[in-house]
Amino acid sequence: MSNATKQPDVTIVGKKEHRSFRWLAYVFLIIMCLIQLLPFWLAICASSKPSDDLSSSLFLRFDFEWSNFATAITDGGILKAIVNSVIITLCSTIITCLVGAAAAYPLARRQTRGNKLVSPASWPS
Amino acid sequence: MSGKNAEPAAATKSWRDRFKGASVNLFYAPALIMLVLFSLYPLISGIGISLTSWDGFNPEKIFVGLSNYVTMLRDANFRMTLINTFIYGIGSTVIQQVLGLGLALLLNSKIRGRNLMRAIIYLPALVSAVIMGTMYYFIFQYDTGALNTILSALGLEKVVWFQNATTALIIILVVNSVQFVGTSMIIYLAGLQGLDQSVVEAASLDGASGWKMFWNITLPGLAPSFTTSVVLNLIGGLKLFDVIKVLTGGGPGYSTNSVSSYISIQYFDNQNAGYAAAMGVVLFIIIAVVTTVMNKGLDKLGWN
Repeated sequence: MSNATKQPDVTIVGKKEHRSFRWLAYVFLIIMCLIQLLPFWLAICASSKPSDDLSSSLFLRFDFEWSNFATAITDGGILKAIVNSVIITLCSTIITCLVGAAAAYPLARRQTRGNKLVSPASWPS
Repeated sequence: MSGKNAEPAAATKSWRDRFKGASVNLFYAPALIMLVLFSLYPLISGIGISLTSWDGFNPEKIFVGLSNYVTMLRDANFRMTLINTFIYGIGSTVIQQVLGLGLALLLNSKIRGRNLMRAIIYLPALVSAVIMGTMYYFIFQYDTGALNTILSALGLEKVVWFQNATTALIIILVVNSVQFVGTSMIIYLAGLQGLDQSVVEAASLDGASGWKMFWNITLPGLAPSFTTSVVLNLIGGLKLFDVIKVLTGGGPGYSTNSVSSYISIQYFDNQNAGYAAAMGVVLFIIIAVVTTVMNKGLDKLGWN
């Protein structure tokens, strides 16, 4: 990182002089991405296996066990759960926006001592 | 509370003038009611329960004064879980700051596929910690786990990952940090993109570069992001619960419990609701004090 004067951007990779550094950065980033994706891959693999399967969790099963998904829908009640999630998300977003906006207005407009007491933004913290 | 008697009394103002527009204050009534109902009331009744020897379902609560707090001082398990809580809090804060800042710096530069990488690194933070914990458990299982598969492919012995308290503690710490490293990264990315480009340019014209630029321009510019990220991660780490429950259930013994998960064991398994509430009050005070001190300290340093 010696000759970065020409570039005012706050970048530490992206210059030709630092090939090896750039290479290292890619390796680090790709490893991080793989670590982040690994649990999702394992979940997909697990979904491909019947419950008595004892093979490694790292690999997919060749004959994909599609009935797992059917079980999740019929016995697991996943559709009901998704609907519940949607309802909770929608309602809590709407309530938060309405109540929050309504509360913010007087707190921002009328800076009386009582209002400052109510508003956490004005607390000394 | 409603601000009606709160304005400085001015002799010239009439009664009517003084309360002019005060009805606007009614706008925050819903928020106030919800706050009282869902935050303040449970808090106060929790303090009340902590003074009783309630078991969680008995209609009668027997007042026992501060004896729950005295038990807590003598409870070696509580001391251990308190230490664990601080290990989780401080450890995951440090890991997330280092990794998050590193990732943000790398992904802020012109690198191929950076948008995809940002999305991937943030992905686990979108999933709830219980589900993520279950998915991470596939990595650390003994006979079919991903890590043990790799180890035996390399010809090494399989490891029982959750047998040893220290290893289990580290695994929980790392899993929590890795899951939420995306949030720190996003905060730092926002900070980096909000840096004043004219200052950066001026510094580079003055000959600053590389480490000097990073140390004197980039890092001080990131101070507000640092404060936000540290305080959020600290709170998240100190109240860590789901990952512990899913990965180890607090075991072996009580050795990987945080205060939160120890509270749930005391309440649901040991039916010590009073004791659990007392620990909850203490945990609340600890988190409040730590975050306030942290915020104030960073403020004093000009890091806010």
